[in-house]
Amino acid sequence: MSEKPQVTAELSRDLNLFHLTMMGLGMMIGAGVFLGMGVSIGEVGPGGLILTFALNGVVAMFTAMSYAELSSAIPKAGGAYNFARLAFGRGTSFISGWMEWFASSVAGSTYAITFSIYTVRALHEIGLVTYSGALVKAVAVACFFIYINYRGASETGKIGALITLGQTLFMLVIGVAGVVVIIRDPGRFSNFAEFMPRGWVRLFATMGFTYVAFEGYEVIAQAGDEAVDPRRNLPKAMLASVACVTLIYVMVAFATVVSVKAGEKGVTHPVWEWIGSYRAEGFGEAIARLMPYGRLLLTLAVIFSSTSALNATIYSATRASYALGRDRMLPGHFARISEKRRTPWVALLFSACIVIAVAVLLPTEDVAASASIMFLFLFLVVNLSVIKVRRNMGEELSYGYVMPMFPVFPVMAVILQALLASHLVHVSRMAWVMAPAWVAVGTVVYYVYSRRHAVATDDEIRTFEEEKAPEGDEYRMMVAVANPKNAVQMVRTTYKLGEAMNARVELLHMVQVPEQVPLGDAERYMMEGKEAIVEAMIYLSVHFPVSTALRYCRSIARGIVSAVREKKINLLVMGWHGRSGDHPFTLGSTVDPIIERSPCNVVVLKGLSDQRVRKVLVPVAGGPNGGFALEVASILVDEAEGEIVAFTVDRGRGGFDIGQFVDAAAEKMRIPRERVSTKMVRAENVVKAILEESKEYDLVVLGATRQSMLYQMTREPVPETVARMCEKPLVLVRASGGFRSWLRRWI
Amino acid sequence: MTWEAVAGVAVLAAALAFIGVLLVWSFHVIDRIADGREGNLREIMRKLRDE
Repeated sequence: MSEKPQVTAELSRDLNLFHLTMMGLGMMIGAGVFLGMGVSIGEVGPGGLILTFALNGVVAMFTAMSYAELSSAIPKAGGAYNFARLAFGRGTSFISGWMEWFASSVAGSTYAITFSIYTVRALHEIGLVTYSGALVKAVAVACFFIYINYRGASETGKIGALITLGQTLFMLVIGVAGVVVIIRDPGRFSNFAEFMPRGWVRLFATMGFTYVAFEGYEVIAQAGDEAVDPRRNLPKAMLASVACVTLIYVMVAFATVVSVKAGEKGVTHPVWEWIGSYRAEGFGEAIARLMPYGRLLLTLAVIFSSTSALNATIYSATRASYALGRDRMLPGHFARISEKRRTPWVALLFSACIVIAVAVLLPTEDVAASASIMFLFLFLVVNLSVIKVRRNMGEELSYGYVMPMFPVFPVMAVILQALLASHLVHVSRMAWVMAPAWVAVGTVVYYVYSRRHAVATDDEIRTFEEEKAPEGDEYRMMVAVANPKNAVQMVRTTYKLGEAMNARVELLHMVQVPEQVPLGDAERYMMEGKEAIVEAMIYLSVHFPVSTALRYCRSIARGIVSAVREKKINLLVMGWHGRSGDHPFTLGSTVDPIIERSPCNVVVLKGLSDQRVRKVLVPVAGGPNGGFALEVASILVDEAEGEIVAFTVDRGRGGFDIGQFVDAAAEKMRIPRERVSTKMVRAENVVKAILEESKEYDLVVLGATRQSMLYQMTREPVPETVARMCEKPLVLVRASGGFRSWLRRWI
Repeated sequence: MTWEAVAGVAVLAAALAFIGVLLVWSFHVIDRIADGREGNLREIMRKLRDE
């Protein structure tokens, strides 16, 4: 009997740069900006109104760059949820996706209601309907766009793009009308006489109130599975949409200020106060006086904008819940895709239920404010994610865009968004109750369902086998063993370190599973690791409490750093074959990131044998790594006959007193001072001088560079160059401590 | 014009110029990466700096 062939449905890729940019603009130019203009001008005056939108554009650009970088590297549906999962793991990512789903759905119901209110008012004015029809229309328009979303991404993108194009043109007409008016009547510049009447501090308040009008990059990130050439088009669309919308908002804000002439009939002085007195409807009053048919044009603009924003938010909510279902954080039904339409119809159905239920049952303004808080927290998580993903996975991901001045912009965005979110408490106290309540429900769902059912993604690190020794407060040393051939040799050497530190030992074998092999089939790569662990254990377990672990993941470096963090290791010992090979790395694609990121002391061994170490060379030039190198040398050197020489090269510039350095290090590290002698030579080429000197010694111990990874990409650091070229047995060390190590443990 | 207006116009111009520069620079980087400089973070940084 022949088996029925399996049909695997995937999302179709047919959204180009234009569609994506329009989706972003469509989500941004929503009802928020129309309500925000009138309220903001009353709070901060004419100059403040324009600055509110310009400065919000700058803050939004920071977050857009984070989204752009992450989306270019991880172009999958799920947006912020995916980024948080890679950066922080399952718990944070589930809450991110959960917030994203709710925030987008509720924003959708807000837009549906705004749309229906404006259309009903327009129809009421010409006597066609009564106000009682507003709610029914809200549900009807929501259903229409739910159907459009069901039809497919292409239809969603194309119809959304057309509507957004229309609304953008309306906004541009308003902006151009403002310019024409001021050219004809320059006297209206007097409306700016009181530029910022209530002070600059109030800008934070209005920025917080209107920031949600800049959230379009989220919907673009959701289109990762459906975009054409996503690594190129996603970041471009995000950045372009923020830049476009900022320019449009600034033009429209300018038009709002100059729309009314001071002293005009019915207008009280000053003009900004008169517009502001209408609060949310102030913008409508201003535009009605700016140009002929102003009110009609505005009504059309609001209808168009609410429509496109509704379309984009339904799309975004659907993709967020689809991603949760795909990873089984929610039941797998959420990830079901229609074979005919290629749209995630179950996720759409549930999102539609939320949109309609919220529109009908709940106080829209408070719920919309809580959606704003969730969006702000979501952006905050994304800005933290971009820092963590670049640090931990920079070498594994293929980037289509990298932001400049990293990590200045994401850090600034985190601070500013936290400020803006805190301000929303003044807008709606209920929002600060509803948002935590939704998060609390999500937390319960996570612990009851998601944690048990979530499937591991390809980027996670998994433990295959683990044996734990009884825990204590001892110094923790981790030995990363690679293969049985050198395991014993390496462990014999590190035995001395463990003895000196009175340590407990964790033996770790990390297996790198090729991208083409599912992690579930990784067992076949484990045999060599098991042998290495057993060899090492036979030797060490006699002397120390020993734990063992076999783990597998896609990147050895990330796996080791992750284990170091998880087990709170104090000292990591690992071997190095001595070849670099992987351009552009200095010591190799595994050793470089481990030295850079491990939040503990690191000791890298190269070419050590069983022979006694009588003479040790320790090249120093100051700094904590030099001191730690002396300490390691004092442990490894032969106790009876050993001699340590602290060596430095003077290039004729002076400034470093080696005697004083050794005195200080010996006192701090409790190294017998009489065992360390000093030597200084004059030479121009430091590397050559050290290599020449090393020929006389049994072992070289030197501190790694303290320069950052980015610095090392442009200049080859001296210690690493020596480590590569030295033919003698060598130990490269890096000391932890200080703010950078503390930061490494957390980020 | 008051000092506030002068400062406000300066901030506005700086904000718009900042957004514009970031946009142009970012598009340039995206195109350069797409044009044969794909890879991980280290490779991209090295390639971009080498030129």
